[in-house]
Amino acid sequence: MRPGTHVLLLGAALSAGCAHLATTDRLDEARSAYEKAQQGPAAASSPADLATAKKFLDLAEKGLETGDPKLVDDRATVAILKIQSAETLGRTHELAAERDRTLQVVSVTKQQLLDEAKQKLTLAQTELEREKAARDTMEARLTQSRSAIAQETQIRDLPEGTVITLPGGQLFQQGRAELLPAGRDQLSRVADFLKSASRSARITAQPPIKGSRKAALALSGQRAERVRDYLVGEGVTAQQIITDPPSATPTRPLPNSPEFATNGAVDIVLQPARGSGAAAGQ
Amino acid sequence: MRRWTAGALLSLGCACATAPPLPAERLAQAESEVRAAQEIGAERAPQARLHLQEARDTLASARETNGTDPEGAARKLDIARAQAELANALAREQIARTEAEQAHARLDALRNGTEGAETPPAQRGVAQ
Repeated sequence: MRPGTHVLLLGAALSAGCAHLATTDRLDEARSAYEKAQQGPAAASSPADLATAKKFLDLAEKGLETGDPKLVDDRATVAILKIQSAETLGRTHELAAERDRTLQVVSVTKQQLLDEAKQKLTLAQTELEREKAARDTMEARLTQSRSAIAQETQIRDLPEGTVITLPGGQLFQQGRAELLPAGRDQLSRVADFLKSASRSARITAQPPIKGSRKAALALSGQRAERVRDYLVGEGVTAQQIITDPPSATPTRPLPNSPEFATNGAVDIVLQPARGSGAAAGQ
Repeated sequence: MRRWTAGALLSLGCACATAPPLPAERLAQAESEVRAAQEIGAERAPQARLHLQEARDTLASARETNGTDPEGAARKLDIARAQAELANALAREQIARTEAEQAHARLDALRNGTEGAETPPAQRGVAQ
């Protein structure tokens, strides 16, 4: 064998032993995937997983020295899968953080709503107590006022409402529609009662049984209007009271008394309180 | 001719007889990762299911090719393991996504005053 042949054989052996690959498509793909992952959320949220992926990419790079493209591709495939896992874990961490933040807001919002509800309940209870106290006061005033009226007049609870019957002789001079001083005092107490009751009322003047019917009816109409005017003057709301036209026949039985027969009467009828049901008798 | 045939069969027989088994540790790791992905519910998340099936296929391929290419088969075990890991990660992502959506739904219901009507929390695992 000539010396030149030896040199050629040695060169061939050396080149076969150092068959270093430049790259493969799969490895390029892995490099590109890693660069992209480094720019994404995985770099911040799962750096350890990305570092593991880098180790596998380095192994693939090292595989180039073997000159075996299949080995390089297999290692690059593992690297790509590891990179994808790191990215997925990064997204998972972000989702878990988002869930935790939202649950924190849920907790705070729940507490706020609970506090608001408690505050509203306290306010409602206070308001309820205040209303109850006002109602109790009003009831007491009403009872007191009714007692004052009942001492000198007839007051009855009938199905149509509470009927206060004022004798005509105590309110007016006989045959006239001018109020007597004592009558004014009585009407002032009735006005207090009406204001306390806060219920609408009708005024009906019952004509005397004796005497001319025509004159008695006219007088009754005037007396009803006079009573209404006085009550309004005492502070009863004008819209709260109306007058009924006088009727030839008594709208309700008059107490059996000569006083009523001679001078008639004035009935003030308070509408029943809402929800009171059938009124109790006196 | 007969001598050639007999020689070839002998060579093949020797090759089969001398093929090393798959690396036990790498095989166990790959199989363990596949089981973990199954248990987390990878079958119920489309993307995860896809990678889980790939892992199974790669494992089968590693067993098939071990006789002729033991080194390549061993590398397939690594690939199978990485595929199963990805399936596992995707399944976990789906769980986290579902939980985040449920938290948002709960907050919306709370703000709209319909919290009592909210859907009960999903069972642990990937939503269908």
